[in-house]
Amino acid sequence: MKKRLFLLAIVFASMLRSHSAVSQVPASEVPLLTDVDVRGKTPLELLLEMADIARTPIGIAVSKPSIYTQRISSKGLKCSFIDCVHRILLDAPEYSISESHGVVNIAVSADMLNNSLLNFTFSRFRTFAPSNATRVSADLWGNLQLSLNPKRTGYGGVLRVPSNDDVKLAPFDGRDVTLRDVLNSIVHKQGQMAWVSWPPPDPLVDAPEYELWNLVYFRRSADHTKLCCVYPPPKLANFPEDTKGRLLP
Amino acid sequence: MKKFRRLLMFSALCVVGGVHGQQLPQGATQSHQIDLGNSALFHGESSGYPMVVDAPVVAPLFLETEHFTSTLHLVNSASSTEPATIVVRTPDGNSITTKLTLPGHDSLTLPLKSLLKGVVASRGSLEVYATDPIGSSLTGQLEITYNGEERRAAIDEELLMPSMTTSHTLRGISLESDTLPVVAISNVANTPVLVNVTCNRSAGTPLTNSLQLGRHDTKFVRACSGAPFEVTDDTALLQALDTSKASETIGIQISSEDPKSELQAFGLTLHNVLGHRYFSAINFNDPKEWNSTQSIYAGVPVGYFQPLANTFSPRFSFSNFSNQSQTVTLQGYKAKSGEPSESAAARTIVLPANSSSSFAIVGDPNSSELISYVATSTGMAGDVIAALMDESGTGDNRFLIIGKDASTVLNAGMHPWTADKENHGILVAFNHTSKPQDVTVQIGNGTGGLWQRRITLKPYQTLTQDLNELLLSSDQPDDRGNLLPKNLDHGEVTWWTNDSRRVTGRLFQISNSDRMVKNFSCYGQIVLCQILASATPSVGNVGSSFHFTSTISYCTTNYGGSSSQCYGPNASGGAGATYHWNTYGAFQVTSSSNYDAYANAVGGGNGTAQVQAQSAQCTVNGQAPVTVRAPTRSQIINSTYTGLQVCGNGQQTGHERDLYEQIVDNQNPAQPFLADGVTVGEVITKSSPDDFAWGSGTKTGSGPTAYKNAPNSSPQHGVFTDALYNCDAALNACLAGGGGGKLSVLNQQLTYGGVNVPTINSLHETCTGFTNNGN
Repeated sequence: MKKRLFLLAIVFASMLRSHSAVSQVPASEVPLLTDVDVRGKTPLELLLEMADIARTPIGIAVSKPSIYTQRISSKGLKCSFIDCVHRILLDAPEYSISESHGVVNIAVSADMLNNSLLNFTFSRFRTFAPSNATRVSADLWGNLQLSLNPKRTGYGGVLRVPSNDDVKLAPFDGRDVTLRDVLNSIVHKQGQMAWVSWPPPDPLVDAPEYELWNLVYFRRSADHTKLCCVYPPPKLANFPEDTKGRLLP
Repeated sequence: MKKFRRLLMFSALCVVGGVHGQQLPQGATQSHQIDLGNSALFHGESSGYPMVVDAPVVAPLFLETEHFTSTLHLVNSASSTEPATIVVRTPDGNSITTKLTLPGHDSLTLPLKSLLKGVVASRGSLEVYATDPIGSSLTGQLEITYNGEERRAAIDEELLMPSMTTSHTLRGISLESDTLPVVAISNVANTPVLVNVTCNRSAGTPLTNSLQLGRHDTKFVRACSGAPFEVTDDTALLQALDTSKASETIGIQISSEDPKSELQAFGLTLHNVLGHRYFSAINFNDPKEWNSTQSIYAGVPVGYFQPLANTFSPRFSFSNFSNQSQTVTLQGYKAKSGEPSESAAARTIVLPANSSSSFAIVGDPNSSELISYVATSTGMAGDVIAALMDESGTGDNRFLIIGKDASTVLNAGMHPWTADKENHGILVAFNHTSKPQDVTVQIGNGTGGLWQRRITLKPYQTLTQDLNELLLSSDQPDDRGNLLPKNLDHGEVTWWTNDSRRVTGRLFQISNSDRMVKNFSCYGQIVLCQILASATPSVGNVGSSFHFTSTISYCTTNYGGSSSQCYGPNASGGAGATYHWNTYGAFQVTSSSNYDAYANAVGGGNGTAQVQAQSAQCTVNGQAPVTVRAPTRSQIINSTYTGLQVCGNGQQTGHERDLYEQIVDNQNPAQPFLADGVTVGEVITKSSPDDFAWGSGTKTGSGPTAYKNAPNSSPQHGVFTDALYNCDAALNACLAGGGGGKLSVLNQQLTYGGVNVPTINSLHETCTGFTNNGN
């Protein structure tokens, strides 16, 4: 395994953590991270952890295994957030970086299967009342299913809402928006989270939400000390066990 | 008789104690009521008798003359302060009462002069009464000091306990001398009694004299002589002591045929050796209280003895009170190794019927080890009695060591100690069995410090613990790692074994300036009396581990005859018991090791860990209650509802209720689990009816819904949030005002920390909202 050293500075992290939940810092300008030892983390874990420290929403479309199978051990690198992302992705070279509406997106651009999900376009997506991100994500999934299956009458059930998902997002209303646009909008509005999408099943009809994407909630305060969670679908058989459902420290 | 219902007599017991409800003897009503002054230990006399006290122990003789002074030593082996009442009786009928308290694990030295409170008396007797309602922890010894020579000499007089249940016979030995012994005989009973005094000489027919003793009367007799037999005044007493005769050892028996008699006696014999005068004590024992034919002498200096800078030779004296010839075998054992002593190879002496004899073992000045002796006789227990006087070769130093019954039912010794520049204290304890024995040694002081060590003695090994060294040492911690405070200079030392009949001990007390030796040999009984068990935690969650610990306590107790008496004033914690653990309720013992155990909670509810400890004849039980918290249901602590509105792609109607919940336990009233970071999982299943197609969307069945709980809003902890929502065209009628009576049902099975929450939530959806188990 190719190992690189990173110095992850938390010099500014504590300062950034004191920002309000919706504060935004331009991703490319965030200086990062010193003196954090990284041992055996996957690029996916490390990207989420750095986004958390930098308070920078991020979206990651998982497709090629390198992003969740490579292991990085590092120390001694000082870099801005975007520079660090580039350095991390040296271990997952199939992935590229883009930025959309202030959200750094990482994806394998030629992955058609992923694009079939993330580029799914809604003629109109809207929510009708302020809701937390979890609930908006459920509405996104419901709209996807309503679109994929015209016979479907609706959706609903019981949502377990993470305790740190307590920001009510203003109602959404967008026309000709992709699913990726909505996910980016959710994490951008919420300001304290990332999205991770998984290689979607085929067909998409009735695929549960958590097999399509996860919202990852950043740590915020002493009471919300967990970065939670990624639930890879079962078909990613080689997804590291120690990363599944992991609550990053 | 009521006062003896749980007391047997041990003439060398020294324990103050008895049964309660007894009134002080009638003589006490004439007492002088004089306070000893402003010592904090002494209390003013309570007004008037009768007063409720215990049965006494008695010193039949004290002397306060030009050449004799007397001192009472009291010891409290309990942890608590204990009360005592001392009654000093003078020949002219006075009784002077002193009430005092003695701090726990402490000793008290009381000059007789202070107890006389100004009353002039050259001799008399004294009684000590303990008044603890659960038994006595006090022991005592009277020390008569002879000041007539350049070097003082101590005469040790053990306090004796009268009894009506035994033979009313006392036996003692007057050591070999060319003078006749003088004996003080006390009748402790309330009725007059006729007493016979018989002397066993080395040869010839035993001589018997008789005298009448009134109630609570003490008389002095010139034992073993013809008329005048009774000594009526102090001058005659000293003259009597000087009466010359042929040098010989004499056995003395004091007896009465009156079943109501309660006799005690103490005697003195004057010796003239190499120009030195000294007195030896005659301590009397009730032969029926001896359970064996073995006398034990622990830690006898033979040869050079450094603390006294002199070479000692023990002289053993024996008297055979039976009508048949008896044989005595003496065996010595080296203190450190327990090996048979070469300088005291087994010796045998044959004693004709009703005769007395003695022999000495010459100490080697080049040898300095203590030797412990076992003297074994033929015949019945009590037929042959023995005494040991350890004598210096220069004739100016000697001390009497009182032999102990090898089979006494008492298992402990309680002694006062003093250790400072002037005084040297040495504890000895001899394992007179062929197996290793554990001895607990505890050294205390009323003002602080309690040193306890459990020591295993090899067969026939003798423990020698120098208290002065122990106080000065920085590397002799006790079993709990504690050192004795260096500023202590006196207190109480207790030693005990779990079982009696194993170990015999005593305390040497040596005055450094004039090398006077005292021996404290008082016995008592220490029993296992209590166990306290506790659990950590006392309230824990199902699946967690509990640690149970127990602490045992030993108590001093009055010996209760054949029945066990496992209570009394608390003396100490300790070790040495055997333990058995059981648990009842919702957990199982996973491991136990004597005083502690571990158990895992396997279910919810109340449980108990029970521990039983056993030592000798005493068994104690303790229990530690435990509450095992198990999740039973979820509890809504807050909720918000968003009413019916358009949702989805605009073609549906939806609503939502957010429930803020905690998992609660099985206690009454139920208590919430407040730990954060515990995974609360769920499995949702659809049920019927399903008029609103609820559950057609997310997260039916098992899914990754096990977010860990976390604080919701301070100070709420352990909160998790469920959003019940539905967005479905089936609800459109509700928005339009229809749909009444329609219902959808989901079942929610929760888990808390991986443990099933047994109450399954029934979630209902109607047009007007959501309920969880009707809430």
